[in-house]
Amino acid sequence: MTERATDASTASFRRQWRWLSWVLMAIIAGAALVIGATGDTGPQTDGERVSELAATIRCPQCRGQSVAESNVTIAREIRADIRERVAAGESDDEIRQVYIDRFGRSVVLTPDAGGFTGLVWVVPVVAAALGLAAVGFAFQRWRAEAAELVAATDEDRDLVERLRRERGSA
Amino acid sequence: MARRGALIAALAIAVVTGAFVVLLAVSDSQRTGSVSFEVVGDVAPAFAGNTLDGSHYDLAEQRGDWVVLNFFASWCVGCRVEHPELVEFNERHRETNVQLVAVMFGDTERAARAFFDELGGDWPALVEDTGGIAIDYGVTAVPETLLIAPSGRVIQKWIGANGVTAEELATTIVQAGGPAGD
Amino acid sequence: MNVALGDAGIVLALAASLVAAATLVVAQRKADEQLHRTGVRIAWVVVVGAVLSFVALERALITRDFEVLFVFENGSHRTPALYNFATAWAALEGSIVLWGLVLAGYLAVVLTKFRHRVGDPLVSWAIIVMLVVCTFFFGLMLGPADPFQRVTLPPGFVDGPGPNPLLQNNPLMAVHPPMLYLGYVGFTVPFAFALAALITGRVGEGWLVETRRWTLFAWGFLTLGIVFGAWWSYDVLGWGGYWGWDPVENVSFLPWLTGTAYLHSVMIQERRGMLRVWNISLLCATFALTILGTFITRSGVLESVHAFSEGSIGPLFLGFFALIAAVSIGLIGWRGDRLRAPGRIDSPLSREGSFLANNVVFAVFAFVVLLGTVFPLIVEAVRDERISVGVPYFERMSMPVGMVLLFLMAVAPVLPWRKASGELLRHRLEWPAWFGVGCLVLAVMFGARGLTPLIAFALAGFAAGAALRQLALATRRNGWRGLVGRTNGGMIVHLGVILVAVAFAASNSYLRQSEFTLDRGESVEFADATYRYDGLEVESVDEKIVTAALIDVDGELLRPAINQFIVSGMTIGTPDTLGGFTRDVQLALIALPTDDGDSVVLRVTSQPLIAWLWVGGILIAVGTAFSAFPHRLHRRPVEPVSATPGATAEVEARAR
Repeated sequence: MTERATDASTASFRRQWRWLSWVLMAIIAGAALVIGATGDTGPQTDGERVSELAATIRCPQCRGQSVAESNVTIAREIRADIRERVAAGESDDEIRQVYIDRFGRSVVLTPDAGGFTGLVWVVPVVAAALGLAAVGFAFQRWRAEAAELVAATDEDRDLVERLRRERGSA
Repeated sequence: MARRGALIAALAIAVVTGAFVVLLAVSDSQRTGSVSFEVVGDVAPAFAGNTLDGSHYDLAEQRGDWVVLNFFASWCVGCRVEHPELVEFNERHRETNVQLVAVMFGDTERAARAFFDELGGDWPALVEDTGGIAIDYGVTAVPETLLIAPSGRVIQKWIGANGVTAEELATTIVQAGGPAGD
Repeated sequence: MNVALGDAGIVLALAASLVAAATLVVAQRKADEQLHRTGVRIAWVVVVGAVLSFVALERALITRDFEVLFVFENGSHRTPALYNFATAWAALEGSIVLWGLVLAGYLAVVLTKFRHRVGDPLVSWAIIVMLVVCTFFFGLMLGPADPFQRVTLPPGFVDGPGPNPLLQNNPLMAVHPPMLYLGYVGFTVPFAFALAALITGRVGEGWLVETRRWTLFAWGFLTLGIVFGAWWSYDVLGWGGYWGWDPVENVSFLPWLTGTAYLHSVMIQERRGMLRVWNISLLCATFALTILGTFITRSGVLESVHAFSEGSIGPLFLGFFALIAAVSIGLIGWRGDRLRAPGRIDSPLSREGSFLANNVVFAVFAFVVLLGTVFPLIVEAVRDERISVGVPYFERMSMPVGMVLLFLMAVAPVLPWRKASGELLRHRLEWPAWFGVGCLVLAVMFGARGLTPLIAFALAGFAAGAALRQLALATRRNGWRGLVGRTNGGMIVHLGVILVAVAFAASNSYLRQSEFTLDRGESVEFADATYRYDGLEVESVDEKIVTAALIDVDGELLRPAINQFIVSGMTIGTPDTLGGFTRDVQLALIALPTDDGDSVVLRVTSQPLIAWLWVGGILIAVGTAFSAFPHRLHRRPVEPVSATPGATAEVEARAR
């Protein structure tokens, strides 16, 4: 009797500890994330900003490389040009627009978010949503089938009786 | 019933895959640089700067003249092949209103000077802010030569491994209504 | 002599594959055991032919037989021995010969392993499918991709051009392509068995058990091939990049994604007979994607730094891809009703449910990568516009998917079959969750900032905790045997993948890169280190002139260099890297220093945790090897829970 009582009390203690454990976890994680989210993560020097920008602009002469990756002359010239513009205080978007005006939209490695090109951003999200929806439907259907199967009908019961009698006699 | 469903699904996937294959089949596999910019037909972007011999050059001051704008580099093999042609062209058009100007591309002033010292040529060669000029004109490789009409519009562009010849330049200028050389 | 040998090998292999396939088909029709054996013997001739053609190619390269077209175009006296051997796959035609060799190798193993069961229609059809694939590749070698054409040497010919200098820069050239091929071509075997199962209608479990180890083997090599490719890029490129979401890289990633999904999903089929349509589709898709990848790499349809030279070979690969897709879809549609399992998944909160979610996530991932890669083509076809879809797109898309996958990696291994209660989950996930929080706190303490990478680290810790928990439980129960076998090996693989994911997140989020122009003796401070330019070193090595800048980095001397290849005139940079467990610093020379090296232009890239990529890769390889370890001796039963109706009666009849 006492054993069962202590078991019960340890069980309830464990359950409480478990909930406490998860709550503590959530608090610590939340605090860490808040601290982490407030730090500065952008480029810290002008040179880094140039590199970051250069990584989003395609080298006009190369096969798919960015201006940051390629060392052909035009890539170096564009990097130098970016450096001058950054030093002159132009914003990232302004600088990108300069190159779009010169070389066309395909010089920027990030596809446009609007128009037909915007589909490349939208379609994956739609596909993911459809996938999730399909899985959700499948589970719903399975649950419905399971519900149907749970109830035993009179026919089932008769069948079981009959078989029992046959087996019993055999 | 399940069989119908399977067939319909299979058909749908087959259609999508088929469209995909067709897309791949018709896509042009002859793309060279996929980034293109056509400056021909536009007003020539303005530029100005110091030249090899220390003077100042401003494109805007050449309005009313024919300007042959040549991008070159000392390390460029084709430019070396092309240069004597430009020297000859410059001689023949010395007395006309056809101006030759060069802009170095991805090079140093010292190397450009050595280039001109070795191969000759006395036309202005810009050595300042040359990267910006190249970007403005959409030049990605050398040699490249552009013809700017007196109106200020770019009307012709020559690219190619060995550059332009004096003959091509002269003929094009005459056909566009400009003066013939000597 | 080499031309004759090579051509003979190709013709032999091609003829043998056709004849053997035909023989086996007839043998099936007539149920003739003897004919089956003959067919197999003829199939062995394919192997002989493949070996012959490869040996001929290497012999021609090694002896510098320039009268062979391939050597004329790619060989040279100056190429060092190792690179000369690797020149065999440095260009298109030779790489197809390598493919043929690996394919024949797999054929040989299949023929040996199943030699006692050739009469079985399933095995027979699998061999026939493999022979059809052989026919395609050897047919290519005979036609448009023939390396053995004879060349009359022009007068005054001294030496060939050698392979592309980019392919002579690093010994990984000898490792990366063969590994990739072992992976790609390896998927032919499970694909062949999948088609055989569909054709014979025996879509029960027999073929699964046979081919699981093949798939694991192929997958392991594909992973290794990709990791080596990343390592090679990192060592050679100069901007600290190891994965550029380049079209060729993407198309090698696609079969990896579907293959990984298959390896997981197949466990559900083994245990509960479910997800059969998924598994067969994933398997067929994996093989089809390897062919599609080969098409994109060799056709020039998409621009890539990795692309081979183009030719007429592109449309042929596309046609083959279309054929495979048509046959697979047709067969699956035809047998669809048989594939449908009678069971159902009871609850989303179960092993089966999580693996189904896993399939969907991987499928979506593969779809997104494929979409991004071919989208420029779509836009050009529909709108006649030119756009680029590059790294920024793929990074932004793959990040949420990666997080979901990390979460699944954490939760799925602790989920029981059929159904789980919240109580059970909370109990099992507690320690992994604490581990995740611990990792998060550690990261913040080390100075990591930014919501996205921090969430990634937390999830990675969570997943690692789940894997470690499984391994701890298993070793506690079984000692060292707790590390081998499918589940435990799988957990080690998970740990490897987690390390790679963390390295990816960290190096992308905290990359610091900048260019500096330094005069001799000048130093600059950047990213917690000081860089001083000490001078130039120029030397002549083999066929190139190496100009190296001596840079002192906090006491260590690094030598980023630029190589000028004398004959071709190409200049290739070689970066130098200071590697460490927590941080890598890579230096690269931007351009050949002019004016006697009074100043250099240096690119400095500092990235954290790059070493974890390679450690993770090793762990994946080790885990895969452990996973293939036989856990218990399997007999070859027809499992009653997943047999096709009537199978039990068959077994009973046979037993009587």
